[in-house]
Amino acid sequence: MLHRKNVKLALTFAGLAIIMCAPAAFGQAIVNDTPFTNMSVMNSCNGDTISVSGTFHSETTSSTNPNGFIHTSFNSTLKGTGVGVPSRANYVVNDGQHAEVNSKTVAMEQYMSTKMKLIAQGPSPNMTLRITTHLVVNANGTVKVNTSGFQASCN
Amino acid sequence: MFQGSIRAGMLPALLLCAAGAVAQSPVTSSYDINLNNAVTVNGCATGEPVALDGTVHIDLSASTGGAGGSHFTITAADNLTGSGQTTGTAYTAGDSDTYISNSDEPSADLTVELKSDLKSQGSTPGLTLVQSLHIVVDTTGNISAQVVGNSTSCGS
Repeated sequence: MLHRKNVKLALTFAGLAIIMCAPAAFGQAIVNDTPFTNMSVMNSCNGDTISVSGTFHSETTSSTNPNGFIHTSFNSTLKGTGVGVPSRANYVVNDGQHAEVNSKTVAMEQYMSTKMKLIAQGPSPNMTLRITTHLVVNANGTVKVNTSGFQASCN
Repeated sequence: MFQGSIRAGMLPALLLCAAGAVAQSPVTSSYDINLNNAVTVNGCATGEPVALDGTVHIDLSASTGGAGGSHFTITAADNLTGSGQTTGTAYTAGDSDTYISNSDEPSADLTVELKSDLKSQGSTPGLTLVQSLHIVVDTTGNISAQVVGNSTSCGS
């Protein structure tokens, strides 16, 4: 089912630290920005080691549907830049993820895999980052978000 | 008679054990979303409509979680061809993502994104296709799904 040419996987940086956000009033977005620095990504196509720094931004909102179900919306954005060694190419990541859940209770746990592009500025090959986002909302509405399972492949 | 009573007593116990084993076995099901001339727009540069054909295949494994709740593992995989409606550029896409949902409820209702490289078969640059999938798992483990939105961005 997965069709990718020239997939070379390189285990990259460990997951971002768990973000814990206190519950907000129903309908209000729970927003969190977590900076990260010097996360290492290896571009196995050209041998670059890329040190990426930036911010992981997440927003979680819960509201009640007309049918009484709770609708939770999750949005995240990973923004960062890095320089590859030895190529000295600049790389940029600016990509996001969106998910929604309808449930009878606010408590939930979701694991969502997604792909984000690490774009090389210049002739160096771009990369695809595969990331798993783990979202937990407890019965009190406290939100925990962390990312893990980073895998990078070059295009 | 005593031996018959023992055998009779063991039979319900065996049945209960078997029922417990069946209840814990994952329930699997699958669903195909068939796309026929589903239009997305080249959001990178030209704004050209791109017609998509093919299948988004959804696999579900549903089981009871450790604390008694539901554990759903859902994999979505697409196998698509595309055709630029102005330039005639051909595209292909084939990718997959996995989603896991744990809750106290016996059903699930999720909207998730499946991102795919929409590879150009010509000189036109490739795209990233993002499809929003609305996936519903009912209380008997049956799954249904539909594409509720799509968009493209530069790069593949």
